[in-house]
Amino acid sequence: MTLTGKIPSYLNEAQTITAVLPRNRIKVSLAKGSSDQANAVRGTVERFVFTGSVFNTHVRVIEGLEVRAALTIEEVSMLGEESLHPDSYLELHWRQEDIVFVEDS
Amino acid sequence: MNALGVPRRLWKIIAGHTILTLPVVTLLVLVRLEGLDRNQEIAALDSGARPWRAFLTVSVPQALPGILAGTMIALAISMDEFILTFLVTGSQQTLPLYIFGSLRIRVTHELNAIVAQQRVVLARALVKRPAVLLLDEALGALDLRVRRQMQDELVRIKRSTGTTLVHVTHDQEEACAIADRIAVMKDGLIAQVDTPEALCRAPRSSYVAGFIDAGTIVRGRNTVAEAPSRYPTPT
Repeated sequence: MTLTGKIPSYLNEAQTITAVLPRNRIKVSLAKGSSDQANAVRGTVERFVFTGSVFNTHVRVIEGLEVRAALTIEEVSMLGEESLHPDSYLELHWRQEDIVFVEDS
Repeated sequence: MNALGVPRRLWKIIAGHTILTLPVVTLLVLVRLEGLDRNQEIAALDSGARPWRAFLTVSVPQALPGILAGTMIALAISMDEFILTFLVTGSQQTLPLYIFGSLRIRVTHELNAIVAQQRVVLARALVKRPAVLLLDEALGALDLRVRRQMQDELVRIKRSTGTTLVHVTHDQEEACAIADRIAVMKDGLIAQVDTPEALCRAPRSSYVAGFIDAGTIVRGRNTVAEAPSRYPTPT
């Protein structure tokens, strides 16, 4: 999994940099066919939790890494709630500018 | 209306103050009257004294210590919270004023009662007109609904009095709802200070990002592709 983006000016090359994927900026779609899209990753749903305002969808993309996406009620209706249940196979995608690079601390 | 949103007129200050201190005086007098020897008053009546005269000459002297104690306590409250504030600072943002404003809210159920109680606590802290007020987990014990109402109240007080509130909380939503600026602490040091929006949009470290739950944190190897892009690859 490779994340591409522009690092902030206050971070320098010597620092260890970590990426943050904001959950409300990640889009979710059903994984169909093959895909080699940039800024996208596929995985299986581990947990699907309604928090009262959004649905937090935890998708395991590689071993040891779960990416969370916050879906609105409308987005869940469009996708179909049954397709978001655990073990469903989904594709997560984002815009390059949505990734936040921070100092690892 | 002054900055706290209550009337300025002096008689209303006095009325508010009277309402505050009256229960103290009444309680002490009632305690004293509880131990009153009614036989002395009956004896005076049997001796031909008029009821009013018997009350004044027999009962009132017995209740006098309670009346005096209540008056002294009321006076102490006055000196502390009314006269000093009003005369020395010239401020009309006194506790009686604020509480009088609160009392005009109709307390219909527990929610209003708790909020009113919290407002009184805040008013007591604000009566000396502090430049900075530290609130350490002040809303932690309240349920969600009351906490949200108190958050609005804090914002209103902050705007109307100009007092700087330093609010310590572990609740990120609460911090965002109240604060103009949030300082995230790590090991006793400030990790980042920013507006709530800036903090959520652009945390500067993985600690801050994790603390405010900004999203999924991906650690990996950094590789420079072509300036200014980097590729952290999970290991």
